[in-house]
Amino acid sequence: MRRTVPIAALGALLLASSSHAASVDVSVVDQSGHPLPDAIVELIPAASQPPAPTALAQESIVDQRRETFFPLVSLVPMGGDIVFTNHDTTMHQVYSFSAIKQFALEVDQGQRSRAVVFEKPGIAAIGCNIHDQMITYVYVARSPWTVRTDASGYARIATIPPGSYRATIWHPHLPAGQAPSVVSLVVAGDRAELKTSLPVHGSDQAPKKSKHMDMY
Amino acid sequence: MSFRNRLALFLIVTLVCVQAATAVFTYVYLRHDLEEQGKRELASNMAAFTRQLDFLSRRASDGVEVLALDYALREAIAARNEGTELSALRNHGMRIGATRMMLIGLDGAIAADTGGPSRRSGVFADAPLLEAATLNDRGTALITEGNRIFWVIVVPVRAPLPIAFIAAFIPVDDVLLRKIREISSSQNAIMLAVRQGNAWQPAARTTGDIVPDFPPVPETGENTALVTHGGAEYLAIAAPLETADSSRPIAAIVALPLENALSAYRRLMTWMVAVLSLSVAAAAGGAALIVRRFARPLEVLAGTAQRIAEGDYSDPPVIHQSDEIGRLSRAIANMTRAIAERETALTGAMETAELARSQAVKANEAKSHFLANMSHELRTPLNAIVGFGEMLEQEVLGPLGSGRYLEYARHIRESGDHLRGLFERMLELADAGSRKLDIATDPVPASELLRSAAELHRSLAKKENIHLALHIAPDENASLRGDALKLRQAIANVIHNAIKFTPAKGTVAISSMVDNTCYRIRVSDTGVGILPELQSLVLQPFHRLRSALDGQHQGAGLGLPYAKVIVESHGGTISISSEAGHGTVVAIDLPLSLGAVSHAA
Repeated sequence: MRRTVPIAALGALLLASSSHAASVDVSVVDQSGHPLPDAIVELIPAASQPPAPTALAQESIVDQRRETFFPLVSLVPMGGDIVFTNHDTTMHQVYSFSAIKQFALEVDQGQRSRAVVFEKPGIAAIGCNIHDQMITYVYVARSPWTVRTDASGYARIATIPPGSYRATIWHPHLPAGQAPSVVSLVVAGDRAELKTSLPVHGSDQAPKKSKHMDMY
Repeated sequence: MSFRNRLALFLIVTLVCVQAATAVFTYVYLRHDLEEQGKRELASNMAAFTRQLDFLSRRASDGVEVLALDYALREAIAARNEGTELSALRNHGMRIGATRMMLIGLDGAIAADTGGPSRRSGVFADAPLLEAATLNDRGTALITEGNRIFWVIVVPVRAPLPIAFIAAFIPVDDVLLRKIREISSSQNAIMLAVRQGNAWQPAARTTGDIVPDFPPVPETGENTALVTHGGAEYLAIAAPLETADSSRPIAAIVALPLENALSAYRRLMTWMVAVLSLSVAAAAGGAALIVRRFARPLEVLAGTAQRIAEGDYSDPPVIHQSDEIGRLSRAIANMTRAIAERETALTGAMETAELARSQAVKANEAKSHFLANMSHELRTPLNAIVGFGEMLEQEVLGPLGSGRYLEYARHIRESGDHLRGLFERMLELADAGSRKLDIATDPVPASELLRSAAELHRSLAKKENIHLALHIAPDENASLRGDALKLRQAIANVIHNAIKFTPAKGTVAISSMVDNTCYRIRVSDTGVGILPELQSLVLQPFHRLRSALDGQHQGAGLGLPYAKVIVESHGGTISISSEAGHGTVVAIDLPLSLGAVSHAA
């Protein structure tokens, strides 16, 4: 499916000299203009490789409650890891056949898994082999200037050197086969602003519930 | 053609036409009804067909979905392990009754194929099916594979995001079609056919005896045709089925046995033929009845009318019917009797009249004869009386002695003369009545004639103290042709009459004028006049007006009739016009002699 991504706003404000670090305010809305939480925005310098994303948290927890993964989207740097915890009443069998990471592990109720390390950048879709409607995503960033929007669709990149960047904006509910949106951003002065919108399907976080869930 | 035959023919032809039209209409209606019923059935069948397929393939569909969730398969797909993929597909395909299973990548490329009649490779042709599977977790469609039809179920493989599609091919064969018919309301034979070029090839059928020949099916819409198979007629109705994009067209054909629908028609036709026969019989009977009641009586009446025209008034036959014909017949009979009675009366009256006329003529002849004879018989002794009277008066043989004798002798001679004059005129009248009057053709000067006639009565007028006025036409040359004596006597009679019926001190005017070829004489008086109804009578012999017979007027009543006879025997006319109390005008018109006229000119 081919679809253009409208850029609602794209701007940069030049307020300080280039020697200072700047900050970027990011806000993402959906096609209806509503704030879009759990969107990932990754800024990669236009002309160079980004430094190691050491600024990001190296480990995240993905919890399982009421047969649902929390959060929907986790952000880890390359080399970072995820620990799955089970606060549910059933066992879960967490797996991924994603290109960047394949694994499968069982997590009994009340237990936590070993750390799953994500070496390659990209997106891993993770499911539960027992509960097919359960799904969570891990975004493995290669740039330290990667953020995840909060409930109000807002995120802030605190320090970033001024310059030209390519901003990749992704959300799990992008239409199937839809590539992430990529926009150019010039950061000058000490504050920049990135406002964008993404077309997403549905408001429910998980894909359709499988009607065969009850079989297991 | 007679009325009777026309009527009968009309009735029968009308009946037959109505029956035929009804039969044709009924057949067309039934045929149309059957067609409509078939189309409705087919339409509902087609609407239900895919749902029924879906329902019947639910188990297979569920099986495919379970396979799509199989961890090992998902792992194999992720690991691109085609051997494991094919093995899983085959095992599962056998379980769900699919003859062919496919694993299709998200991009549509066929990743694994358990194979069919022709192993596919490359890209799955029906992208819409994959889209439907992505959106609805399942996509289904009818697809042809060679000459066979498959119900294809496409389910996405999620891990947990879609990573591939599984397509299962369930053959739509005779068994499945029979199952579909079992759960459908229709029990009619159904066949599915695949388009091969311009022809349709049967792919599945519910029974083996469905018609092998079926009508061409349009790409869209419906088509019907009458086909014969095994001696039985079927109404074949075809409708295209919705298929996947890559599929060849598929048609569903329902064959409706006409026998079922037409058996009702045949029963109806039997009844209709029976009704027709009864109707024709009724028409013939009705025609015969009408002939008896109308046509034949009309012929009888026509004959009666013809007989009346020919004068046969014998009692006509009466038609004893209480309707118009009967009334007409009675009226004609009455009319015939009335005509007969009237003609009899008329003939009788005519005979009576003829008898009376001939008797009158004979009587008149006898009278004239009698008068002529009597006149002759009387004249001889009268001559003696007059002759001897004259001799006595003239004292031929010596004086009579007494003057009284002489006077008596004169009375005898005058009375004799009078009688003789009367006889003369009676004789002439009698001669005129018997057309024996001889009229001389001597030239007669008209004015002289009139003047002399007037002079004859001058002394009488004086004696009666009546003024006699003469207005004689100045044309002295006007000349008549005839008997001068008789004419003068006739005119004198008229003048005498006028004087006689005019009281003293009255006037009698005599005038004449020459008018072309006519000499017109007018004698007018100031007398008592004559009533109009009596005017014609006074010109007839022996009629004297009773009203005028008051003692002072005497005469034999021969004056005017004599004048009439004489004038008319001279080719003239005489007429009387009068008003009672205002006098009378007698007009005498006599033809002028041509020689005299030319002489006058």
